[in-house]
Amino acid sequence: MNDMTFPSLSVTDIVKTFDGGLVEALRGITLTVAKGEHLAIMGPSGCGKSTLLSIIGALDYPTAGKVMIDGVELTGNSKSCLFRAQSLGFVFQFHHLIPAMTLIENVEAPLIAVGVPRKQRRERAGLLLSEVGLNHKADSFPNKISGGERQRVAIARGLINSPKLLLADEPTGNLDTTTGEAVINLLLDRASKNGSTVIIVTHNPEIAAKTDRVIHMRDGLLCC
Amino acid sequence: MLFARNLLRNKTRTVMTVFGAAIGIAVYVTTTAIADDLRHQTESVIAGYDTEIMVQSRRAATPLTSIISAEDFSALKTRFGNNAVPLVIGSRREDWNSYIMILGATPQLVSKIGLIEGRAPVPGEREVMVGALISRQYGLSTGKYMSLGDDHYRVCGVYSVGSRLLDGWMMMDLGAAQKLLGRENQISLVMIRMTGVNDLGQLAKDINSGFPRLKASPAAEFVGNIRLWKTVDVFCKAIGLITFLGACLIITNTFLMAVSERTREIGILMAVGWSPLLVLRMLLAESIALCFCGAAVGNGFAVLMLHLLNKNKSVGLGWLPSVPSPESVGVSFVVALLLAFAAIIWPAVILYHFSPMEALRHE
Repeated sequence: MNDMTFPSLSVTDIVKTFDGGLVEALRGITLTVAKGEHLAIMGPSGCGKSTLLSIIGALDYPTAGKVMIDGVELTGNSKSCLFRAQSLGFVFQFHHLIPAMTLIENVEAPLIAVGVPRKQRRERAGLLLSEVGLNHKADSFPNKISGGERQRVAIARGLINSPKLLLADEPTGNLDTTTGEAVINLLLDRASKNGSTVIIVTHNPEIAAKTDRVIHMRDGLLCC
Repeated sequence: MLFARNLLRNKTRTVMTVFGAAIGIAVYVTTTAIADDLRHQTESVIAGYDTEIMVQSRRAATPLTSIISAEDFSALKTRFGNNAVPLVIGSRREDWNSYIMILGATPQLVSKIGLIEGRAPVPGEREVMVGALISRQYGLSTGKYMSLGDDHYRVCGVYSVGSRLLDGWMMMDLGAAQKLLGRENQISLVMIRMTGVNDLGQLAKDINSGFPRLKASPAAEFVGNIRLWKTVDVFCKAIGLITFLGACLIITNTFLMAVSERTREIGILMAVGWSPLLVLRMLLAESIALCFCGAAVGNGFAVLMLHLLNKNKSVGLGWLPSVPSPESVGVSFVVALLLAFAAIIWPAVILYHFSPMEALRHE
């Protein structure tokens, strides 16, 4: 299934410092992820996992180094918003749904950024909500559904643009074990059907075991 | 409607912001409506009497304070004959009306006034012709008497010229008005009819150079040349600017709070690909909705303010419009739109420097 010969993501010598160099969050990370590969990043709190994920997701800039996704260099890309909307999907630890938007509006939000017409947006968002089993609550607001349901909506939002790369930062960290397992199975299953490359940051070895490859981080470095 | 839902998330703040904008817009609409209406009415009164040149005393700020001596009028009469028509205008405070306007005119001019009952005043008699508005307000029909100063005057007729301002006044013979207003041998204005003259500006200049104590203007420019109107214009513009800035600060503050409270949400939207411009568009929709609500409520306030001012007898009859003109209402919505854009300039600057990562970490 995975095309390991052609990298979807290439991270080269990424360094990230804060407070004028006093704090080194990442100290030269080099990493390659193949198209369609599911990768788990594990490590203790504060080791730089989320910082690495935010740089890969073009949410933050590295102090040094280079990130390329499908041959497009992200570092210093002035159109990073558009790139995120077109090519990346995010699932956060806390669902991070917009409370003033209905579930279907939350799911379709990334498509608004790329100018997809409303009718098409609604159709695609409705389809994804059906796939995560929540179409009957499409017009509900996030405060009316459970934590597990919110995370399923967040997965649908992360997949709405058929992303090349789906980034999940402890997607089950806020859920009980049973719900967490259901959510991670759904995420990986939907991403596989989509052909998306997945990077999951997690503390949970059971979740990591469901991926193709696991890497560990410590003190801003990859350790194996 | 996302913008409506966002606005309704903090109803109290939204309502207070709308009221803040509404008060600003109400003040703006009321002042401009009053000024525009008064100017428009004065222009229509002058236009209604087929006059080409208006003359008042050079230093007068308004026709009410204009004093033209008998000597100057006599010289004008020598030059223009019966085409120079004198008027005296003044106000009196009476027990039954604290600001009554009186216009004294010659039979030549009074005969042009549209009567709805009775007849014109007879020179030398204590007779007065009242406007339809004053007649209705005080029940002054033909044959009734009213006290003016120490004397009683008989209502000889009721007129209506279609101008609310003039229909709230009363007219009498020039001599009687001069006596009543203590302006014997003085007049306020001279209207000069000069049909067939192409260059009225030049004619006005000729009069001004020949009569150093007088100020002549083509009738079409007369209202614009009245010093009081220039002051009123500046006053209205200053009020408009102050209320605009005040309302702008209120709405800007609301949106700065909104951006601060919704930092994480904005971070999420930017994380899923929304550009700062798209987020700004969302805020702009909210700002436009707020300002348009403010304009609608503000126009309602303006109607209420005009109604209350009209109820105040010390203001005098016919001076104020009862509703803002369609132009004032239209301008208020244009102002509201400008306000909506101006109010999000600062939030826009903040959004431009927004880091989605920092926003997502925002507590």
